[in-house]
Amino acid sequence: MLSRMSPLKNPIVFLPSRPPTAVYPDRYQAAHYREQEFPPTATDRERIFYINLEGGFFSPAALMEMILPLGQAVRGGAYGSAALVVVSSDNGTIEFLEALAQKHELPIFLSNSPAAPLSEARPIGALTTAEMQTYGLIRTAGGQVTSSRLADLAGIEGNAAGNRLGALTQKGYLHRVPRSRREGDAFVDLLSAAEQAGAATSDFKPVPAASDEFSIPEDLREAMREVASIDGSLPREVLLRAWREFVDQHREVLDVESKEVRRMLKENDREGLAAYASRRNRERARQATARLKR
Amino acid sequence: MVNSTPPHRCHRGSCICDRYDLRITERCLVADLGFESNTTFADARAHPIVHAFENQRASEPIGTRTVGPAAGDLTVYRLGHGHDHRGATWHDEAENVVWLCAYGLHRSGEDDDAFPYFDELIRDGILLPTEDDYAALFDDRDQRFADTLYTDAQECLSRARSNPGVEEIAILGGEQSTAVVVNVVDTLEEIYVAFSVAHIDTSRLVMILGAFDVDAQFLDWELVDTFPTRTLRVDEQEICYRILHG
Repeated sequence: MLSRMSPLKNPIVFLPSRPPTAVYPDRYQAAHYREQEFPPTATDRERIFYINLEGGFFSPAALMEMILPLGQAVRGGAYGSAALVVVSSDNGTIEFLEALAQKHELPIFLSNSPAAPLSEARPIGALTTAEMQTYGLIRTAGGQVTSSRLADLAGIEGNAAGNRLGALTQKGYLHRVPRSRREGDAFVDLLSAAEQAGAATSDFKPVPAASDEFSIPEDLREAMREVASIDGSLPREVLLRAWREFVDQHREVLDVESKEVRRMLKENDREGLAAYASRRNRERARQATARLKR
Repeated sequence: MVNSTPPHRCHRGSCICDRYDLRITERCLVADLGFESNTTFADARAHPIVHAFENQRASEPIGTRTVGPAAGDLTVYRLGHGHDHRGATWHDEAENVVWLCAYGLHRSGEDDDAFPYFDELIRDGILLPTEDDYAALFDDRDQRFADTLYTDAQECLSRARSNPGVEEIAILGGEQSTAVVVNVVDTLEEIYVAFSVAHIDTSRLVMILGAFDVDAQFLDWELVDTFPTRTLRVDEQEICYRILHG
């Protein structure tokens, strides 16, 4: 019987991240966020990247830009030993992520709420039925097994158990800890291990939005998500509706800005108008340059 | 101000083509071409390679031969003029710009030949535009937008008033396609303004509506679901505002 003590040498590093509540029509904006939050640096510490998408309205291109390179890097080992958890309760987003993970063989764990335990995040991607069953058994067993333990649990030969564990490790869903022949290598579900160690917390600190960023209030976000899930809207339609709702809800603020803009138009103050329009240009320039460094 | 020097309009650092701008990176402008950093595109035309840049890239954003290996959307292309003027251009599809990134003279086999120089710039990571180049591009576009927005909007509105119930289209500030319909019922005038919000922020929204009616508050405009002559183009994230004049 495998000891309940974690075979990991160091505590798992839990890296929660939540994009600011906003509309993301631009994939470069998503790429910039991803590059800032998750620079591809490998360490000898096991890590969990936890991206909470709640509150963001992503175009399909932006969502793909946010998740695909990260999933590929996790699978390819660019981050060392890491697991990627994505949180979303939006049905459209979930289906999109499932298709993306399947097509590109991304080892992603999907959670439908930031309040849900890590061990309830379900694996998506290119998993066979047998691999799904194996993963379920590992979770049931506390998140860590040896091949002989799995053979007992699944009622299969030791070689077959080893093959299944090897496949799950290779695909990026399990972390393998080499140990002595007597003990046998341990195969660890990083999510279960982090939860047991109390490493995970949902106490996020979202990156603050720029003061003039196009953002969407939380209550409106909830309403928009409900609408999307009820009527099966396309993300583009949801995005457009979010835009409309946002502008409608901020009419008073925009009215104040409008007064100044109309004054400049009347006075033919073109420099002033250009300055008003270019308030976010330095940030936009930073984003444009960042994508050249991909 | 935008001028209309043929064959293409120039505005500050840009030569404005149908689908994109032609720009010169500051490093290339100063270090390779020997101009001051604030030189306009129109003035830089005096240089043969800039002239060739405009002639060859205005209708076709890429060339046939690359500088260095192909690199997907970061592929840099050769630009040639005469026997020995050589340039390196990059089509920045995301921002709709073709950049002239480097210039040199082709001296085959010599140390100062253009192509080893281009390769060196690529290796050093200084060939492509910098953050300052992009900031200048966005500032120039905002200035261009501000320069002609009001005139463009008022001309379009005037046409729409002359043809009630008919959709009139204008490009505002050189970038924002906008449709306008004016309906007149007795003494009431109803103005519909529809445009895409796919690539704009709220500052553009405020400016566009203001340009159509400088006396109306933002609150006077009503965000509506319909446009009189057709359905709104959801795929293009088009929205429509209406204002009523009594």
